[in-house]
Amino acid sequence: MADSGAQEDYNLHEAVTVYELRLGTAIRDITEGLAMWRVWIALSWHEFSSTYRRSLLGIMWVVLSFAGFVFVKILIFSSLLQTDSNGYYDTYLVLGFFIWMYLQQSISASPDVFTAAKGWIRSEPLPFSLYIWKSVMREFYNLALTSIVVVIAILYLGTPLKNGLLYSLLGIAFLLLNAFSIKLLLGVVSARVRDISHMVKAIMMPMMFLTPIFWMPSQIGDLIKYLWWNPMYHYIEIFRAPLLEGGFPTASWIYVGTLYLIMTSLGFLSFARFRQRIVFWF
Amino acid sequence: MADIIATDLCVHYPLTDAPSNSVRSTPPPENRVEVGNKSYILALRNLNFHIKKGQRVGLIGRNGSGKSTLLRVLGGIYAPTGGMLQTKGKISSLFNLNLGIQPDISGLENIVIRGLVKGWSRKQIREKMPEIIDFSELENVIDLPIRTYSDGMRMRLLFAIATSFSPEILLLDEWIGAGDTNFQTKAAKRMNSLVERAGITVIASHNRNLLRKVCDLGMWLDAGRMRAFGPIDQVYERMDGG
Repeated sequence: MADSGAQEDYNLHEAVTVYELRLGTAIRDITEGLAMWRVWIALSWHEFSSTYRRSLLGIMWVVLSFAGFVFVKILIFSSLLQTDSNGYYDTYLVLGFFIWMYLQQSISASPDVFTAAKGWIRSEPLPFSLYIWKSVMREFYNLALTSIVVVIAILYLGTPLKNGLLYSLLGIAFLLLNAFSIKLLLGVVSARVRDISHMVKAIMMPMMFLTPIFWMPSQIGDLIKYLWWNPMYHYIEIFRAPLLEGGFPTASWIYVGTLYLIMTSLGFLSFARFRQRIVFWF
Repeated sequence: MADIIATDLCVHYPLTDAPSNSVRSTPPPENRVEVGNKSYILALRNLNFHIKKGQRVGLIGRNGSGKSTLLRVLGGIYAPTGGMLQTKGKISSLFNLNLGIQPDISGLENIVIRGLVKGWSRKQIREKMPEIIDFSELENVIDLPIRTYSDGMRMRLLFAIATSFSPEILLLDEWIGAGDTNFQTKAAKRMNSLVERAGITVIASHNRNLLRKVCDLGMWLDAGRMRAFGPIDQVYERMDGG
């Protein structure tokens, strides 16, 4: 149709019937979104910096609030748990809490990725994946800033770290990619079923205590058999374990990798199915 | 060279039960259809038209008649749910003065962002910058956040940006309300120069004087149907029962 000679350079907008899987549209959206990296980097940066724009300390508030939180956590929990004195527990807590903060922020915001961009979606025909990358980037700036606190804390605590830094960075890179898939899946579903957004926030709340951040897996006995299946544990572990215990946490990687494949496939399929409908749901 | 062909173009909105904070104008009841247990609003019903290069089309009709929906389909925001639409030419649209801008950053930075969104490089944007600022007459406030602008200033800036990146098809929704006469004349002149370069403009408005001034064709929409499409004066005559 579109390639019949004279009509070649027309942009064809074919009707989207309600029950149809449009893989081509979805793939095009994602590749075009990647190609527009300049736009999402600029947008995410402006969004990130304008949050703190009219305040005196500006972006430093991200660092300060995280630092204050970590300090209080260490103060309370290390005396509460009466742990060893060589700072291993404190380091464990700082590293775990660092990733937890990221996960909590990223996952809780995921269902709103399209609804929050509704103004843009209704005014510019941009690829939807651009809004996902924009969120991923904004959360990454937060992560990068809070990592300053982590570095300072580790230097101060002086715990000897294993040299698994490369594995840990690989873990961070994975978490960013993973965030894209989570947002794709939850973003589409939640644009239609608004409960998802509240549900995810409600789940993330108790999750902090079900995840080994303040306690260690060895401390809770048999319960770990069940809590091992908490994906948050492994998202944290792929970053924390290489630094604290050294080596490559194979089991955790297999678990999060499998989960990633499942979520990406589901996210992609629902995106292919509903990409053209999302704008009607606002 | 711009061209727009619509063949049996339909758009129906699902009426979802999900709570929505958007307020839509109440559509005429005959627009509503039930399919199975779902309700839809037929926003556009089997439109057939061909807008050729150099044509300036005014969309007219009551609130909820489908003008904005048609503009958004042409702009690639909504996908047709029936029939098909073919467009040729680079499209630039201005639907709402509050959408697609970052209110907390300066006019200058917003120009950069919108330029990037339109696929321009930073170098090209820098080159266009003086012209955009000059046309929008915002030299003195361009460094201030957009939230400090009046509606008229905002409109001038957005219009200047939307037309600077030499679009071939320009889509405008009720944009003129916020501009003063002086700027309206300037804007009309710019739209004419665009149309002379074999472009197309499509404008939705309730302002007859304005549409008569800037459009040669009128398309009358009524409850999602196209009632008339032709020379704008004749369309208004038909509309008034002539």
